[in-house]
Amino acid sequence: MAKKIMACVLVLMLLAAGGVQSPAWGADTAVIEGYLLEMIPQSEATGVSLMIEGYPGTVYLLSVTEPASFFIDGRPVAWSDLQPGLEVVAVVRGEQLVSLEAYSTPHPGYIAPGSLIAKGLVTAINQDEISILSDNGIEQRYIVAPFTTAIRGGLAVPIDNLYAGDRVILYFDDIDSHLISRMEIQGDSILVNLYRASLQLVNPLEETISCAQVETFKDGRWQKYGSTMSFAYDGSLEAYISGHQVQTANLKYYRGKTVYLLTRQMMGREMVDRLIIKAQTEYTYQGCADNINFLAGQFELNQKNFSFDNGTIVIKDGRKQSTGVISNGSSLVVIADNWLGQAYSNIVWVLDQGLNNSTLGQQQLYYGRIDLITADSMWLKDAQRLQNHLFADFGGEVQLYYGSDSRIYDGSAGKWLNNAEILAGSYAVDEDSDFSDRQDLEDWYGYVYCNQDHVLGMVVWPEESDLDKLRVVTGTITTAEEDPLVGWTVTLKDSYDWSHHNRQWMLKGSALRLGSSDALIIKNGQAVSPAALKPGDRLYLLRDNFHICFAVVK
Amino acid sequence: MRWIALLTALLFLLPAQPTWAAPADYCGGVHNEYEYQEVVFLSGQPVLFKGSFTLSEKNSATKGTVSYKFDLKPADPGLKGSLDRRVTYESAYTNFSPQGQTTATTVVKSYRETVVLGKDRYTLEDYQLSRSDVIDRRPTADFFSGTIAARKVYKLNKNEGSLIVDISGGTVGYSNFWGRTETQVLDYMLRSQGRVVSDEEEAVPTSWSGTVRILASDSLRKSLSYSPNEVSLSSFPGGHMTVSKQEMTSSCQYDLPVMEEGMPAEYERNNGRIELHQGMLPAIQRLILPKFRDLGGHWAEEDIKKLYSLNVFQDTSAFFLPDAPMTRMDFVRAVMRSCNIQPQQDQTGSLVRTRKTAPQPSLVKDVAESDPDYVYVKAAIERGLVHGTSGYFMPDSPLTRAQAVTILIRGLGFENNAPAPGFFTSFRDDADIPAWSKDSIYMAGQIGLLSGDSTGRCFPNQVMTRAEASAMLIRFLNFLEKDLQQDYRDNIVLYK
Repeated sequence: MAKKIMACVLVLMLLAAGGVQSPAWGADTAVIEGYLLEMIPQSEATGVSLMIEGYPGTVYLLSVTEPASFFIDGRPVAWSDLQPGLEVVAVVRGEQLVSLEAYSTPHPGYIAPGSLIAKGLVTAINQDEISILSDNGIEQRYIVAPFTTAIRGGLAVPIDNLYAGDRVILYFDDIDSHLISRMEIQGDSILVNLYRASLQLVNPLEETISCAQVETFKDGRWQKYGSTMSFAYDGSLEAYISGHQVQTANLKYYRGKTVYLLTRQMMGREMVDRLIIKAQTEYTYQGCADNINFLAGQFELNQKNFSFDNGTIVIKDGRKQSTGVISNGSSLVVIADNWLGQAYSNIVWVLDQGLNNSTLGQQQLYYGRIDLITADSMWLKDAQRLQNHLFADFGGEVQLYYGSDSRIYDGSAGKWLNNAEILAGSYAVDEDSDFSDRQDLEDWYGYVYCNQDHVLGMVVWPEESDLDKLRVVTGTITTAEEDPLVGWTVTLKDSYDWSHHNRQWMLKGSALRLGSSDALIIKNGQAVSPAALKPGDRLYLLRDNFHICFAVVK
Repeated sequence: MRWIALLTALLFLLPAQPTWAAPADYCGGVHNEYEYQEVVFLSGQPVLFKGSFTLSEKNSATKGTVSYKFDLKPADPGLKGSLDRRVTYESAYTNFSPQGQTTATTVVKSYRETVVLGKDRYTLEDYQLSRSDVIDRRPTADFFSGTIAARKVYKLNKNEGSLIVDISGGTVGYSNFWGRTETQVLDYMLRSQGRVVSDEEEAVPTSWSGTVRILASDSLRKSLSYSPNEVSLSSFPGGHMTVSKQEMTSSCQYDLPVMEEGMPAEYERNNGRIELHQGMLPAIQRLILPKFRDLGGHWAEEDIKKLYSLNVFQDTSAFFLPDAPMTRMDFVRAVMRSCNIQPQQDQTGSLVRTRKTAPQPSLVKDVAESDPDYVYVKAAIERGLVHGTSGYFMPDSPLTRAQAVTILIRGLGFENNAPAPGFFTSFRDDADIPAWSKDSIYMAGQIGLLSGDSTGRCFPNQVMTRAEASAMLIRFLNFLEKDLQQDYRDNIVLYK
């Protein structure tokens, strides 16, 4: 009541001062822009009156009846949601308010940083642009920024740790932004296993598949793995036969058939990601892909045509991939159903590997003679750089930088060096000086692993390596142990040698045992000791016969 | 006497706090109906224990008590050991009814724990825990989030040392008719101080520390499954059923010392991850059989049959009329029935009004209080699913896409997650979206409930057919069943 009296007094004062006006009207609508001064509730029959001060200073008193609509930032509200002081735009007809829009939000379209999310499968990485296929089938591109952080399996990793085939959750700070603020990459549960087995039982209630005579594809051939195994699946199972999808409910009609199972270890269970029923035959081929036609779903391998489609399992970097990763020149292993002259690719392994996981990576491997070492940099003379699995002349001298986080290993002494030791040691000498001559000192040689020009890891040797003897090999560790005679060793399965002559990866066909002591080993972007290698680690390495010179854990 | 009876009735009728799917205790264990498994890190090495576990709990509107009892042995039969743990937690709830929220604080009421591993005996000397949760009750789902801090102090043997375990982390979960999940993210910091007897018979002090990250999730999901008849001479070819599946999963990522003769190695660490899984036997319930004549081959046939099996549609006609417009009343009723939103009982707790209770006026002008559907209208308005227009509900008006999406998003309470006003959605017909549905349509696009057509338009003002509304409702139920589980479990356990 007191409030109403004060409001009336205010109105009377303003009226006396001639400050309250009606808009210049007739029957047409008019627009008033300004500030809401007061809301004066009337009786229920007549609603409320609003006092608005226009920008020029004129004060208007408007009555409101029921059909009037009120908005704050475009959202419909009741008049009681308004507060004096709001900046408003009023549409009036005569002395009646038709609608009133108030403005409150200081940042239209604002979202809390990191609250906008996109999830999906990485289908392609092109420099700093990543293509993501969402679960509803829409492909979008996003940009990796210098400030983008990456986490894999709960641990921070460099952004170039990302592979095509990874599943990611992306976080953005602005509603319209395609710049990735943070990226969470699925951990080791993204890695796939492949089995061949006889389908025994499909249990749709427990969502499990039981199989017998289970084999795994290892070292280029199927090898016994277990007599029976059960696998779980989640909801509906992706099952195909000759490219045609099979409903989960109809899998029971294929009991006894040979099936290929692509599985992943997830949350304590082995879960089937995709199942392919063998139609007629099984043939295994290896070669380089050529004349790929994605529209027709065909490629050529060893002058034979193969078809592929969405039902084909494509594996690269231990991950399930889309068929788009197959490119002309890719080294492939294909398990195909070859019937009546038509070869349908059930499973395609893309063997292509490199120093970097994708074009996001800027890692380089150099080899050269250490010419000069200063407090934070070193020069390699006659430097060679690994390119396309081969050391190639880099054009003379290269300057690289090292810091406190650079790890340098003296292969001859078998110890890690700190910055002071690398600087003070005789690893780079002036071979023309009397001192060097008297001490019989010569420059050392080193393999240097760099991120662009920053040294991450280095191993130095007094003798020069014969780079022509080196072979590039990929494989997966099955055992890593310290042998009393030869030191640390690793045994690899599914290992392939790079053949420069054939320009493809050549299958070893059996387990490969190599010595890893004194090698430059890189894991998670850091130089580590051989003890850090674990079964399951996938390696890209250079070896000189039995000895590993350099290895990076992929 | 009447008052005592009324008070007693009220005590029983006041809603107790819901029982959430919850991992047992804060140890990252998993269990099914008969076995419990847990990895114990007290010795500095991960050791898997198995055994039995019992849970008892009491809940009321303001207080809750949960007691766990574990009797475990090492899974490795060659390892001698045992784990005996009894712990009771007490929670106090505070309800904020106008906001539809509840806060809870939990403390340890009593504890007893002894772990024997080989020759070592760890006795729990002290256990402090502080946990607080906030629960947001929305019409179709409840969501909650909690923060945990705890400390356990163990004594090693008689007086040979101590082990302090600091626990910090949180828990997050949801509950709705189609599923519930709770996932704990707990970080353990273990610090051990002890003594090792050297070769010279001297007691050498030793210490080690390690960390363990535990991601433990208990999840129940109710899904619709179709079971075809194996025979051909039957009055029905097959029918739907609900299959309720509960499973627990735990991932322990550890960074522990490498022990050499009781002493930790200087630089070497033992890193690894252990994953556990247990699942309960699924519970099955067969559903009634739809027998419509006009659905064969229709693109929405499967969705409509699912909803009918769930008793969402109560049509007795032989024709569903899938391409007829859906009415607002039918849709609101369908949402409430499919999400099991029960119309509230009246204030006396009685569903039957007696002569002494005055009839309440209808909340809307166009649906009488005596109308059998009024309970759904009243419940929908009271829960904020619908607001009406100038006091009218318009039950027979055709339902537009914007209205349907807004009802569903309000059911989740997600409209507040939209950006601050002044944004554009990604749909090409953004200008056609009514202001009152902008936030809901944005969120529907974000969670995959609404997608544009091939031209990127969402047609917000288009009238929905009964078939389209059914498909949208099934998509919504899939969201409640599966998408939430993926967000609350898979995205945490597989990515964090």
